[in-house]
Amino acid sequence: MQDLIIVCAGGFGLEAAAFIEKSLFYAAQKGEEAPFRILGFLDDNPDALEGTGVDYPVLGSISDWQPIGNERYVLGAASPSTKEKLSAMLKARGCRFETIIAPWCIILPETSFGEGCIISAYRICSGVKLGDFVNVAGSMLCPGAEIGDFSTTTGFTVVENARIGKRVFIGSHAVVTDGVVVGDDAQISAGTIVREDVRSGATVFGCPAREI
Amino acid sequence: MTDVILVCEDVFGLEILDLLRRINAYLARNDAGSRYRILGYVSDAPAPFGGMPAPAERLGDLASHPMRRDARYVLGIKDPASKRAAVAMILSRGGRFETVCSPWMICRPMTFGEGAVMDAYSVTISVSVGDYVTVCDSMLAVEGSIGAYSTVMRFANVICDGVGEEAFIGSCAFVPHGVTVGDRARVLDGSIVVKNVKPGTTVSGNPARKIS
Repeated sequence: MQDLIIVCAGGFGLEAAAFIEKSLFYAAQKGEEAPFRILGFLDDNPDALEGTGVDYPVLGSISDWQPIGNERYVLGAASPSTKEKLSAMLKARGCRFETIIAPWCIILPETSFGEGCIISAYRICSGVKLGDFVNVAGSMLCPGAEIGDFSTTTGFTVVENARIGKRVFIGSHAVVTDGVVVGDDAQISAGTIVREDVRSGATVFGCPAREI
Repeated sequence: MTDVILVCEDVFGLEILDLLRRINAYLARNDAGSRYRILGYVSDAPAPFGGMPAPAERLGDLASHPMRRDARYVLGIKDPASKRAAVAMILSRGGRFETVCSPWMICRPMTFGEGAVMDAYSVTISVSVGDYVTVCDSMLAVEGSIGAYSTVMRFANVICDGVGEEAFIGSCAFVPHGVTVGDRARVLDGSIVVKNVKPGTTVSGNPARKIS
């Protein structure tokens, strides 16, 4: 059984906790040993879980946390810049990150994941490559899609056979079509249809996508 | 168990191959054995899956590969005109197409056209789904029919009064009540259709406007 500590007690951290709890529930239903145990959260606000109905403790603040043993960490942040900052800070202190895959995800063979990913995709088709600390929520990743480190995709997003850079945020209902290359640090707003390459750092919006 | 051969022209074929593998996995989980044995793929493109390792054996191109009369062909092509050409070639050589229908699809008992590939979220259609229609992960509630060779891509919501033959509806598009989509019309990704789409036209955007 792997002990887990969730970093950030915000919305996405709670969602990650829900995925882990669901994995435990399914394991219990099948009579299997529990794969994980959640020890608690790390958050700079000690009262972050108040009123959320979650009864795990806030073990300490992220800024002065030191690892305790064999526990693994789950990065419960969705913003690419926060993910990069917190993962660098905690890895420098020797923390190791776990990739969490929600049990209802459909993941075909021949896909690869980096460390610290949180995956609750609608579907990940064969031949998809994900970097480190990628969050995939409710999206469809088609065959051949590649997503760089720290990027996040949200609900009802379709990424076809496209290459997404690092620290890219893709909003809900966006479509990134075949053959497109999205540069690092780009932001793709909700509902955007990307048919041409997006340069690094650009924010695009609309159908077809325009830079804003 | 049915022996099947995938007909494809690009990486979309992998999505359909994934569908066959998902159906097998779903049935195996429910102790219902396996439905498809994938013999390989046929394609006129020299490298239909780009740089990705081919997940099945290449049997040759459509016109010259050794025919397998005992096997069924599965359409893994999204472009309606290419589908029509591929179907004509395989039929002229005596091949037969398999109608693929995902077992988890929400729909009343109904029959789909020959060679249709149906992986919708839900289907409520009052008239019919034509031959060689392809539907991926979308919601269909059509008061009418979907014409032969039409394609509906992922996360589209099509609740209109009928879709013509050889029509294409892109990912995340919305086609509401009261409109029809004409023969050979194309509704591009993410379009929000507000009025009838005339035969042979291409529409895009929100609200969808004719672009050609």
